[in-house]
Amino acid sequence: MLESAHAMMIPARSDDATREVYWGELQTFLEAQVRPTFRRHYEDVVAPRLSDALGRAPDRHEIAIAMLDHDANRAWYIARTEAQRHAFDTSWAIVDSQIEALTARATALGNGPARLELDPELPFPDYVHPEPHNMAGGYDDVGRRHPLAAGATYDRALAVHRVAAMGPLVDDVGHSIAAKLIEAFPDFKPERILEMGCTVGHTLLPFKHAYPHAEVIGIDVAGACLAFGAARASALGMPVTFSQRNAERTGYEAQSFDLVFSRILLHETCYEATRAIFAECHRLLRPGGIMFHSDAPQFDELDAYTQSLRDWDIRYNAEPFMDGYYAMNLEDEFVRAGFERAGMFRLYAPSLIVQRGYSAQNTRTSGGRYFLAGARKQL
Amino acid sequence: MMKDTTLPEPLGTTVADRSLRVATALSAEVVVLRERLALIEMLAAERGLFGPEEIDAYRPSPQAAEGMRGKRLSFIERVFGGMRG
Repeated sequence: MLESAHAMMIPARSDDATREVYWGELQTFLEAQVRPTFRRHYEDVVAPRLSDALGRAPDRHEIAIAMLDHDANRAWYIARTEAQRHAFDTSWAIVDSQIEALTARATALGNGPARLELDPELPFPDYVHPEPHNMAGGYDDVGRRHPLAAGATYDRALAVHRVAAMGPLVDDVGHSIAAKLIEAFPDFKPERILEMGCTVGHTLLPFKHAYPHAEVIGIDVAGACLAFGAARASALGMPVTFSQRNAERTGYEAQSFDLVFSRILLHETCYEATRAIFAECHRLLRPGGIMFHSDAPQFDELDAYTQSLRDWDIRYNAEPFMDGYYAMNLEDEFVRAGFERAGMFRLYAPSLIVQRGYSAQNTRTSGGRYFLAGARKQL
Repeated sequence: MMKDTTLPEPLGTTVADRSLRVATALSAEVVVLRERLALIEMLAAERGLFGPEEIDAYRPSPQAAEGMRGKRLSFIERVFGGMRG
C-alpha cells in the first residue's frame, strides 16, 4: 500500500486502499500488457482490408472504427472504461470519508509557505468537460461536495493509480521536463515562471526545485484544485503561488514572465481557447522568454495506428478535444500568436524515473519520455 | 458509458459487454476480499489469537449482522450497478 506522500494525503482504510491500488494496476495491465497485442491483428487483417476497400492508407478514424469489430479490442474498451471510472470513484469515496481530517490539516497549514489567491467570481469555462477522463466531480467539484475534495481526489488518483508511472508525488513529468529545458537552454535563467492549468501543482513544484530563486506561480480556473494544491505545497514546504485565473486572459502585465508553460492542459480546452492561450503566452513573455506546452505527442509524431489508439480517450474517456488539439499544426498556431519560426522547438524529455529503472512501458508514455512543443520569444 | 452510434451494436449494449462490466467490477471485490482475509490471518497468527475453526464457529451479533448486510448491498451496487440501462 502507498504510504502517505505528504501531509495532505491520508492513508486509506485497508479495503479502500486495496481497491484503489488494484484499479490502477488493472489500468496499467490493460494498457501495457493487453492493448499492444492488438497491433498484430491490425497489421495482418485490418490494414490490408481497409487499404483494399479504400484504395489508400486508412486514417485514424477509419482504423479505430474497424478495430472495434475485433472482439478482443471491444472487450478492452469495456474493461478499460470500467477500470478508469471505478478508479476515480474509489479515490472520491476515500476523500469523502477523510474530508474532516483533510480540512483540519489544511487549516493548520494555512500559514505555510504556499500562497492561495481565489477568485470566486471567475467563470468556469463551458468547454471544460464536467467529468474529464471519467473523473467523478471533475476539476471544479461538480456537485459541490467540499472546497478541497476535487483537488484531493485528483491528487490521490494520479499518485495511486499512476504511481508506477510518475512517482508518489506525481512529479516525474515536471522534473524530467525541467531537466530537459536546462539542457536545451543552458543560458536560460528565468526569474518569474507561470504554469497555466496547474491543478494541484504536480508539475509546478518541480519547477520551483529546478529554478529555486524564481518566483513560481500556477494558475487554474478550478478553485477546488488550487485550494488543495496550496495546502499540499505548504505541506511540502514549497513557496509557490496558486492563483485562480483563466489562461486565456490572465490579467498579469505584459512582458512580466520569463517562462510560461502548461502540462496536459490544452487537450481539455477547445480551438478558440488554445489559440487565445498561445496569444496570451506571447503577450506575457519578456523578450527572450520561453513558452512550452507539454501533452501527449501530436498526431504528426505518430503512425496512423498509434493515432487511432486515442479513439478510446476521445469517445469513451470524456476527452473530446484530444481529436482536435493533437491534430493542430502547433507551429502555424505559434506564428499566429506572434512567435517566429526560428525560435520554435519540439523536444522529448526522457523520464527520469525510467532512467532509474522503472519500466518505460508501465509509464504509459511514448517510450518513457514526455513531449513538449514551444517557442522562444525573439529578443 | 457513452453510446457509440458508429457501431451496429453500440459499445456497452450487448450481453457480452454488460457481462464484462460486471466481471471487471467483481474482480476488484475479489482482490479486496482476498487481501483483507490474508491480513486477518497474518495478524491472528502473529499474535496467536485464533485459527480457522474458530472463525467457522463464530456467530455475529444482530448489530454486526446488520452492518454486514449493508456491506453486501454496497457490494451489489458496485458489482451489478453496471447492468442498469
